[in-house]
Amino acid sequence: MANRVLAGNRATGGYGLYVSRPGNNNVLNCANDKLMFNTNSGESGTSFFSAGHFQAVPVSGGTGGTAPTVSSSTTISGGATATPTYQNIASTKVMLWGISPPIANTANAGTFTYSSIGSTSVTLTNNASVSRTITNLSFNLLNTSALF
Amino acid sequence: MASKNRVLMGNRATGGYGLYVSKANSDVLNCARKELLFDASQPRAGEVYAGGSQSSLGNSGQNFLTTSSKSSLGYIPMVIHSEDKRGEFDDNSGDEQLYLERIDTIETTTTTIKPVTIGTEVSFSTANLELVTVQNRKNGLGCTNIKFMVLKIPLAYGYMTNANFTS
Repeated sequence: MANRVLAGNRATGGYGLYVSRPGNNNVLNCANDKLMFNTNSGESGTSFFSAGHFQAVPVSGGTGGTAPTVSSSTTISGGATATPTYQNIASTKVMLWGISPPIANTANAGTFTYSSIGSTSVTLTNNASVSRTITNLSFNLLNTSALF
Repeated sequence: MASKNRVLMGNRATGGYGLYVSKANSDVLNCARKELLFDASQPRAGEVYAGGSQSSLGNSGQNFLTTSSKSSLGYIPMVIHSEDKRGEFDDNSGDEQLYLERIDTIETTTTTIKPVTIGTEVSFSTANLELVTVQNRKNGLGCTNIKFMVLKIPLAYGYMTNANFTS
C-alpha cells in the first residue's frame, strides 16, 4: 500500500500536509496531479501543486457547532434589484453564481446580473420584465490577482 | 452539545487509511460519507489549479497557465466561472427568433478558456440553420467581469477515464 498522508517535510513542497489520491500514489514523491490536498509554499512551473481548495462562502452559520447555510434564494420583481448577503470570508474576492428557472414566455425573458460586489453583499438585478427567483451561491476566489 | 470527532488521520471503517474531515455535528469516525468535508478515499477533490478576475474577455480567450508558468494538467479541466450576463437571452428579428436559456457559456481547452455562444439561427444569406457563431460569442453578448477557477478535475470527452480519476 502506498503512503497516502504526509504531515511533515516533503522533498517537493517542504513542510506541510499532503494527501495523495487513491491508487498506487506515494504521497512522498508522486506527481502534482496525484495529490488531492497539499499546503503549498509558492511553488511554480512543474512543481506547482494548487492555489487552494474550492470553498463555498456561507450565508450564515459555519462557526462552532452551527452548520453553515450555503445558498440563498431571492425573488425579484421584473426590472428590480435586490441585495443578497453572505459572510465576510473572502473580502470582495468572491465568485457569485446563480441560477433561475427559465421564464415560460420568452417575450418576458432577460438576464440577471450581479454588480457592486462587496465583502458581505452584492446588488442583484433582474433584467427580465417579470418576477423570478434566483438561487445564489458564493465562492472564495482565493486570490486578489487578475490571474493566479 | 457533545463535541464530535472532526478530523481523522488513520484507518476509517469506511474508506480505509487516509485523512478525513467531517462537517459540523458529524462524527468523522462513523458518519455517512456525504457528511465528510474531506474524504481521502475519493479520487478527486476541488483543488484550484488556476483562476482570476478579468473585466472583459474577448474571443481570443485567456490562457490560465501563464501565472507561475504552470504545467498543463494533461486533461481539459472543470472550470467554474461567473460573469455579468446570466440567465436568458431572447432576440426577435422579423420571422426569426433566437432564445438562449443560459448565455454565460465558455469553451475550455487544456490551456485556455474562451467565451462562446451555443445555438443556431436562420442564416440571412442562405435561409439555412447555422451556428450562431463559429466558436465565438454572438455580438452583443460580450463576456464582462468574468471570475473563474480551474479545478483539478477532468471534465471533457476522452479525459473522464479511470486513468485520470482512480490511478
